[in-house]
Amino acid sequence: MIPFRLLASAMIVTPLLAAPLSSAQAQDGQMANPAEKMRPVTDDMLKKPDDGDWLMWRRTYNGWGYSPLDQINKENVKNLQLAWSWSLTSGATETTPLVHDGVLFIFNYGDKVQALNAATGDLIWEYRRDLPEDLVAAGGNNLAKRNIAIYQDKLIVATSDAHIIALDAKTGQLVWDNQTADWSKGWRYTGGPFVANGVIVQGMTGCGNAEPGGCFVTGNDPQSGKELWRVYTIARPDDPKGGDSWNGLPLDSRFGASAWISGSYDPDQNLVFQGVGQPYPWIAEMRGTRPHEEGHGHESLYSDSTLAIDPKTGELKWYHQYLEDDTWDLDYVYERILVDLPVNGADRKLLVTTGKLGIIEAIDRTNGEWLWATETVPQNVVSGIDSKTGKKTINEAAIPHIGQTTVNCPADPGGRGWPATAYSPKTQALYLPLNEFCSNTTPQPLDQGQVYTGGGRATFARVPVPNSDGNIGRVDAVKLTDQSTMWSHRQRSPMTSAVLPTGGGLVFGGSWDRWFRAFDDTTGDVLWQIRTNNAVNSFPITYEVDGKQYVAVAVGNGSSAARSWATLTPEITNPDGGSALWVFALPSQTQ
Amino acid sequence: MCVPAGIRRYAGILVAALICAATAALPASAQQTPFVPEDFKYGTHEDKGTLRFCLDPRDPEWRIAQDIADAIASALLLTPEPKIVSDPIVTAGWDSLYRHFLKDCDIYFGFKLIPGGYPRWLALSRPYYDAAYVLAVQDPDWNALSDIPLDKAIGSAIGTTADFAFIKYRESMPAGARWRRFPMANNEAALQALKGGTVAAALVWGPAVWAIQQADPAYAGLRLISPSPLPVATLGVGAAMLANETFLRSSLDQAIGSLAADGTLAAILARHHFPGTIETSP
Repeated sequence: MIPFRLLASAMIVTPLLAAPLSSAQAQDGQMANPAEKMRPVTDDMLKKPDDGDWLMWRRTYNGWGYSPLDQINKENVKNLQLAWSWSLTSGATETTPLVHDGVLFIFNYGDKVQALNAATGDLIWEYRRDLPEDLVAAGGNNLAKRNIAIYQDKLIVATSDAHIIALDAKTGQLVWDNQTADWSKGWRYTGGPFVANGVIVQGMTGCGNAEPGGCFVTGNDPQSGKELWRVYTIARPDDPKGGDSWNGLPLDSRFGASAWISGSYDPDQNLVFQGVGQPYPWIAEMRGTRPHEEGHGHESLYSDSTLAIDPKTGELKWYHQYLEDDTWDLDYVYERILVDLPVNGADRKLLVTTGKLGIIEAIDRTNGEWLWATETVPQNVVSGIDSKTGKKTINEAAIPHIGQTTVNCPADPGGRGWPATAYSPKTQALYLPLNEFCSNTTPQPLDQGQVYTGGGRATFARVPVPNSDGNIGRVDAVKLTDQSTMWSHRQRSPMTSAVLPTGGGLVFGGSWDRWFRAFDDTTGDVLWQIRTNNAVNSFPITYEVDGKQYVAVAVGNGSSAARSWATLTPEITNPDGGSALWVFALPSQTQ
Repeated sequence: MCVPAGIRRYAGILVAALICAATAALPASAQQTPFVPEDFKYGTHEDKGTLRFCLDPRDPEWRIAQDIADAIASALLLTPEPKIVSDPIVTAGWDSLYRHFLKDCDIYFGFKLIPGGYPRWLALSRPYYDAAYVLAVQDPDWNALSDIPLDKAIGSAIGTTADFAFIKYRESMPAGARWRRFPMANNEAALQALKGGTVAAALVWGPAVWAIQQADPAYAGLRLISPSPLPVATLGVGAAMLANETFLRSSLDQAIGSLAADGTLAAILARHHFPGTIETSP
């Protein structure tokens, strides 16, 4: 770990320059260290953050990914320009900056965490985790993290070697370090933590055939790091809820159900809503849940489900499964958006999520009751949805079989992937970054080498959707009150970033072709765009410091999902290196 | 880097230039090589007249591969330069293998020759031995899969070529009148489940039985029975390399062929009491 104060060291080595530059630096804010006056983040702040802050992955517990800031709006966004930029460690970005009291925190590829002056981009401190050499050498997407958390005076980080750590938010000093699992067994974190009712909630991933029994979600004490509880995402055989849902297989033959995306929290119910991914191996015939055995369930619980968990006790209150016995790698793991809207004339407390199938689904977050669904991208996996229960009828022709090649749409990276959807209360619309494509799917053996399996659960040869016009990427706006599509922006390049709606009537989002755009939230018109230096492949945020609104987004190459989407647009190429954080603001006179 | 190191080493500038041109003609998307940020950090290996190969102790067959690699190096009049891989992680993807090719070795031993089982940027040598998947049991009365009562569970190392055949055979049997199949994480897990009584038989890679019996006397009593009515599934085992190492692959194949023909490979297997066979035809 190398925590240091850049400003202090700079003053030591350049004493002659310090005095003449001091007034200018003070004017630019370079000399101020906002971390010194940073307030501890309380439970109340997490419940109702300051408009100018971005305190958690999707900003608020309800998972909206929305900011009420409106200084940058439809009229002036054309003047948006670069305020500052900052190079990040080369590699997949996928990151979400946090901002509190003028300090921006960012996770770099390879477990480097930095605190920056959010107004100037000056480094305040940096923490570099001393990762195992073999873990770093293996590289890949696993060294990226989608989010971190801030609570009280600590920054909470899930590390690439499967630890949860706390850093002093003001200094970057390590406060505690708690190992959750052994990374050499394949356990890993790619999503990040959040704090609900004073407990750190974190999902584990990497639960393949080296980890029989699957993944889990943990609750940890923010003061000590001690693990308080663990909820397994694969039902144990003696679990009365889902124990007999694996076609009669013993626990040692149940794999998968990674929890690789952070969850949401409803303080009124004291319930965490955690998404769970697909079972492993992806092909149901291989993992033994097909053909179905009489007398046994075969839903493969709790894969592709929402888990409602009491964060204080770890008790699983209820679950709702969206896709039974997934055999396509079509996760339902993503953000859970909590919104109160009428359904059939009655006010309901909704939990809205969208899986890789691109089907938006709403359930009642008080009990898991299914309410409605609406489709977005072309898909051929689900041929029908029961309008009362939400139970899906599967298109048998799309089910992969050993010895055959079948077609399924969307392909494995999903009609939507980890780039998050977002909800704007201004328009009551859900904004979705989407991609259209299909897959010729052929199951392949897993044991090419003793160790090297290549993830070869299946070969997904990605192809355009039938009668494609060549456009792969989309941003859709869907009104959640009646599930009507307000607008759909289509483009050749895959969409590779989350979307960010704001109080200024804008929706920001970016794509594989390096464009970062601002859309009109009601029409979808492109009001502003800028070409960055690499794929826009992260979660954009907006924040305010000293009365000025900023928009920040990380760009970089290396995300496996983005590279998968990009296989259909080989003419669009990006640099290998050059990950960076871009921060935009209006020129002072146009604010 | 246009000229692959292995090609430069073996064939000279003219051949290298020809192959380089052929490789460059392939569209980049067809290669789909893993993504490595800042790959310049790996540099270029200097030609030292050596055969750089990786051996992986996570593979129970690696000692056999080591002897075979030494024999290949000798046949090619090269100095063996082994890299004993020390990665601790229990499973790895192609990205990790690719990095070893950039950093450590030109050849990586211990890969089954599964048709269609590899990305286009990888190439496999001809097999240096063949081995079979086997059915291991403890019950003294069973001599074939067909002897095992249908209410028993078969532990199958998940996703192997033999497992695929078993899956398809089971699907041809009527529901309620077929063995249960418990997919196990790997060969060792299947054999442990057999030893522990969770399953009645283990469908595993034959050399895995050889390895576990050498390591643990508790497995000495395992019996190998006929998989009938399943066919015997046999696979060749060879070495992996980057697909653009065409001259290296050709040289390696020729060396393996020579060592098979003169009995060197068979002698290595015999020395280790290894359950493999050698393909001697060209």
